[in-house]
Amino acid sequence: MRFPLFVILAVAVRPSVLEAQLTARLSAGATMGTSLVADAILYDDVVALKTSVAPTIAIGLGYPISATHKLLGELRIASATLTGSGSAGANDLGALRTIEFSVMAEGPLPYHLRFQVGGGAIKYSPARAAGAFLDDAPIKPMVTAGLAWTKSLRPGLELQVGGRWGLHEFTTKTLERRGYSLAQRVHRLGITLGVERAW
Amino acid sequence: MKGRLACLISLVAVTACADIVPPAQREGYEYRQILGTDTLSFKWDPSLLPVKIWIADDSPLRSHLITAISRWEQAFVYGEFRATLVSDSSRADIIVRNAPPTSGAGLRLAAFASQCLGETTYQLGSAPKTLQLPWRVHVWPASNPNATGIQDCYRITVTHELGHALGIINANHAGALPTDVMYRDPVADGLSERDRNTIERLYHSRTTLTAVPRP
Ligand SMILES: [Zn+2]
Repeated sequence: MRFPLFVILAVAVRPSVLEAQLTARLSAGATMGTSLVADAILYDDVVALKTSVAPTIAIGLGYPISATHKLLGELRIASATLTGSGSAGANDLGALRTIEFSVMAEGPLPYHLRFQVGGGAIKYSPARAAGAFLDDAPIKPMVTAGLAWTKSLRPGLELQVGGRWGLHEFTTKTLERRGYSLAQRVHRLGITLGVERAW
Repeated sequence: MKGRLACLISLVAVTACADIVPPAQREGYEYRQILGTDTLSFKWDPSLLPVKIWIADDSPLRSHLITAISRWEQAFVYGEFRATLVSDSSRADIIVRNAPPTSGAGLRLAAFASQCLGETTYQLGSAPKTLQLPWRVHVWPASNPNATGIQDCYRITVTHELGHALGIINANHAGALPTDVMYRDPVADGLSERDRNTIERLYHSRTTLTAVPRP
């Protein structure tokens, strides 16, 4: 019985072969992130700098590098609100937009899934220069990985449900000037729904 | 592909260092007021932000008040203080006038610069451990309202008095140096590192007084 079971599993997990075509994709969804300053002790207080769940749009271009893999360049914009909090309560620090640019390798997985791994940069763009963003709005390098589930709608057009994780280190000139040392590891998780067109 | 994955994993491992570390306690000065056996301290609660400040539209202090608000707002990393100007003085949490105080009521905090004088007053509420709004800030000419340097004096003194209304209520200005805007005879045109350290420590420490909104 072990041999047939192995064959069934092997067939089931055989990666689908992507067609080597130039692709463009557009997607929308939401991004959430861990705190930019997380539960840090400042005098007698526990402080944090948090971003809300952010509506997100992403555009990407895929370029075939082999029969099954492609190079994916992506621009992702998310608009959150920023709050500073301590034991007394939360303070509104206004809107905070992030702009991510990443270059990733994308390849096939079983069950109509694709993986993405790569890196890029994230740019913080606050609506007003205040608080931790008084002196600068930094650009930070980041690593990123993702998973996408795809469904063919018609030849050359695909529906995609994507999950994306990113990691970068956060600090600003203001925080450094105010005596903060090291940097905060910030994890970000995005979920999007989109379409991909192939030529 | 395995090589790329290994690369990513090692990059994540390198990135995964310790989290951000805030500063340890840093040099400042006394902000609390000792009154008999009581220690009084005050800060604006987030629920009262933005603090509503009234000043006459034609007041010569108006532009200096806007500068002072911006200076104190910029002293904070977590948005602990924000203020807005309002047109109705009966709704204001802080009232700013270009005239000497007319009554001696309340607890007084003064400033003595060369061309102008300042005073900020507040009143304790009828209930224990309360402060009855509004704060009243007065900044006026020492003698000649057109004296040379009076605009600089107004800007420095309004910043100083607003510092009192933010909660730096030690009437003796204990520990403040001439380089600090909260020095008793203020000459520093802007906040020092010690001013910022003091206000940050105040807003991240327990305080004894709670503001009672105006009826
Ligand atoms: Zn004073």
